[in-house]
Amino acid sequence: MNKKLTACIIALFILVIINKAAYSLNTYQKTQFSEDYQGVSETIVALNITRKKYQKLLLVQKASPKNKIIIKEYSIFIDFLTFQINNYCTKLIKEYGEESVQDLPCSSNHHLEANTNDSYQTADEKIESLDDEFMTALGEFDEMLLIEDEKIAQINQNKANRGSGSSNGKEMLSGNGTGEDADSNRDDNKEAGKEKNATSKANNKNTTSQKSRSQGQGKNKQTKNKSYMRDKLDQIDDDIVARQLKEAAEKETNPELKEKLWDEYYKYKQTIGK
Amino acid sequence: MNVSIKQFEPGELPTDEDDRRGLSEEIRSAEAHFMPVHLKYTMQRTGYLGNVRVVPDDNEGSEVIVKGKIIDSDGENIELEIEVFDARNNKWFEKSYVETVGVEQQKITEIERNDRFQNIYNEISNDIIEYRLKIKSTEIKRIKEIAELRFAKFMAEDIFSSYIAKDKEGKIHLRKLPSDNDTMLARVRSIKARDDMLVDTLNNYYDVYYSDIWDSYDNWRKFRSEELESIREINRKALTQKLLGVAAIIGAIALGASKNSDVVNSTGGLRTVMIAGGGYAIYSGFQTSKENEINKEAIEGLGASFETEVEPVLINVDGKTMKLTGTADQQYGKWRQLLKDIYHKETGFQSN
Repeated sequence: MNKKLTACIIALFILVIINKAAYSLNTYQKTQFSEDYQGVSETIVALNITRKKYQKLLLVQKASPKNKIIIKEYSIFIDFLTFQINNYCTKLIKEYGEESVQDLPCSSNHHLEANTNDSYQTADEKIESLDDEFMTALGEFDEMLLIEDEKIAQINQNKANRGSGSSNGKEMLSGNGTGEDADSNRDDNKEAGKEKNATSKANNKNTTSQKSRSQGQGKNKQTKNKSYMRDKLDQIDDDIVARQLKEAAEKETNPELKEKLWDEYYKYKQTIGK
Repeated sequence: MNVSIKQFEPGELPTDEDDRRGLSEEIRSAEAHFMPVHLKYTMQRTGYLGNVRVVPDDNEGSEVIVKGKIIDSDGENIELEIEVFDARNNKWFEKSYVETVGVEQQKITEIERNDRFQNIYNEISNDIIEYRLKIKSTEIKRIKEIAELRFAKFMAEDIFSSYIAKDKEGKIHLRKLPSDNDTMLARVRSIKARDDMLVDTLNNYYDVYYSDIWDSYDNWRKFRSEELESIREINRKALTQKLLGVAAIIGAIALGASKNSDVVNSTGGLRTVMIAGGGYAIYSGFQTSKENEINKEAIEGLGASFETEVEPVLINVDGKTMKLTGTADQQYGKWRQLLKDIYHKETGFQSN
């Protein structure tokens, strides 16, 4: 009898332990689940706030036709933010369903459609993918015009330098031939590019050291890895989007939003690195 | 209201050899690039118009387009034929503008602000503004809508062709308007913004070209005008000499033919001097006329020198324009296909 009772108690005890373990695992998964969701949705909100800020800035810049380069940069940046927000929204919908994005600034058209031609992509996803392609093409075009504008700015700068007499005698003597001018402009552009890259790297290094300081003491292994990765990524030159992301992160006063923007900056830098 | 100025047509050179001296097709082409840019600066300064841009060809989506042709331009005279249309293909006006600026008119020129022929630019600009001010605001709204839909049709013909229609006279009418939240129109607007940026970039190159040739073009016109004036002065002097010579000879003959023998006898020496002097004066007149050759050569030299200076600048700007518009054309082709694909996916309709 005693043996049976003992066996029953042990069995009950084991069941309680299994139940507890199952509960703990379930709770852990739920916590993980909500942490992922929380992180992505916070990123969406942070990106949307930044997008709104830059949309306002763009309107201000558009009032002044002199700032064409800034207007182009802001347009590219806003397109990028929209693209990223859409990506994150799609990710949440896939993992947690449409209800998960109801309170987030996601576009509403994500209904699944039975598709005869393509079994793994919905109609909305296809539209989204085409839209992404469209936005990328717009971005490429903006980049191309930006490069042209920079060339023109360089030509004007060279002319201004020649006008103010700050250039060397050789340039003054060869000032008549346009062919020579064009060549010298090309060379100047190369030099300017080198300088720009050097400055960009220097700026990145400064930012990293500033960021490292601001992160304070008591870093765990994860933050050390993060910091190491960021240091590596800082060695990659910024393009327009990266520059704007960095600027947005530096200007942001809310520490949580700031960190989200830094995360996005380094994620983006990883894609450049690839 | 935004205005596009199409690059001017260079027109024909004068058929008369003397009038054509020192002119060339290259110089005309340089002027056809220069004049729209100066007109742009003049129109921008008035403050009555929106964005004023120079465009390389007929720009779909222009609210107002100015087309010009050079009928005559030789440094002293300019004759331009100007036509202005709005997006409805409605011709605002067609008019010839003529101006002559002689050496005696001391013109103070200033880049972007004051050309030797500034009056002609002011007149064109004033005529456009005068017409613009007569248009009602509802009409302006309609012109802008049609301009936008023309560009939309240019980018996605199958999708937007039903929104506008062309009548027998070639005028464009609005049939219907897309809804405010039309996603295709939103995409077309994104492209239009890029198209405007492209035109801005082209204008930056045109501005560089304009400022590069400003001094040499201004000097060419000034010096050519001076040489033409010298030729006229020499011609006047030569003619006077010849006329005086002829008059002296006729006088001597008249004296010799007098019925009064006393007069004939007493003026024998004088008549000889008059005939000799007259002959010399006529000879001098012909010699003076030959001095023109130097001026004619100078005019040719000026033309050749200006052409040499301007040709590489012109090739440069044309090259840049062609490269940019070529790249844009390729990109527009890509966007057109994407718009078609997206439209198909969004609506299920297959555009042709």
